[in-house]
Amino acid sequence: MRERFMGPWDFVKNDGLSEETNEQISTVESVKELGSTVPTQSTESNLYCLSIIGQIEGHVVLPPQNKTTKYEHVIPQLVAVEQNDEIEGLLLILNTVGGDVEAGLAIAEMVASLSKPTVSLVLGGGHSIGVPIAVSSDYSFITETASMTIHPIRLTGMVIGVPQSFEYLERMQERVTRFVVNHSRINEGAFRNLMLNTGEMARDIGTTVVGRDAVDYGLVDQVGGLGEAMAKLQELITQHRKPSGLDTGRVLQ
Amino acid sequence: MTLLWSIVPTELVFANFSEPLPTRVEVQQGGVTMLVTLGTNGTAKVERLISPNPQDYLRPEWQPGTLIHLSKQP
Repeated sequence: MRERFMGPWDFVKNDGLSEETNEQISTVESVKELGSTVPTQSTESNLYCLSIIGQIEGHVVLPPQNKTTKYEHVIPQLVAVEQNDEIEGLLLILNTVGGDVEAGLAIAEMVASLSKPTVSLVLGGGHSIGVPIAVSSDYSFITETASMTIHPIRLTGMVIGVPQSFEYLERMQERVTRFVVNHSRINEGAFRNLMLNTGEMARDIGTTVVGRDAVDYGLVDQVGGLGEAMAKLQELITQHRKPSGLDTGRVLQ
Repeated sequence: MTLLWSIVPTELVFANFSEPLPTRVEVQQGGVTMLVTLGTNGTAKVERLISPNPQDYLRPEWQPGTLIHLSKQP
């Protein structure tokens, strides 16, 4: 499994350049990119950290002013995490403003069905389609200041070309609601209330829940940051290892 | 069919949508196919990786946005 950490220049090596040349290039690159003369090294870790940042990009390539997480790259990474014996757990970091519904649901379903322990941490924001992704892990955290906006899928504007029927949007909404209810402690009625926020004037604004509120509503499991999330993931990994008796006694970071 | 569900207004997300994207080309690098945007001096920015081996997607040097040096000019 070490081969995949050979470094950025192994494909150059494949093309017959000498090792010295590769080292030189690597050092030059490190100086240029990182201001360091020491070539970057991957340290072995039994965790895989996946960050879901910006817009979740699905079937349509979004214009360049958007910062996007491309689902066609996330999906095979999750397959690799499941397959790779070196990786024992997945840490999902979210700071997303939402995005493509089907791409988001696809990521959420992949995380939910991963056989290895998964922990998610909502930093900053986990809005719209970020909500099902946040709850898809085995255990979820949200920082004190992070927020999650739960609002209906809007009727106008988000579809390119094809006008959507109200029924289609309702069904999409239903898929999301069912996923969130199945993977968190919130019940359907409460989630719908947050989404439609009947007390507000505009029906499509929804509700923004911050930190502890998300936990009180049962959306997220615990308020916490990186330390808590890592500790929980290690705990889940230890539990996960036990039945198979595979504990190798390795020192974990 | 795409359905965007986001707190960012659609007008902002799709601003500049009609502008053409930079030309992307498919290249073969280290045994995988990549969709890249060509830069100068044989560099290219990885836009998308196409590989049947899931482990390839974990390689930090092949993440989208990374600059690579093309071993052969396409």
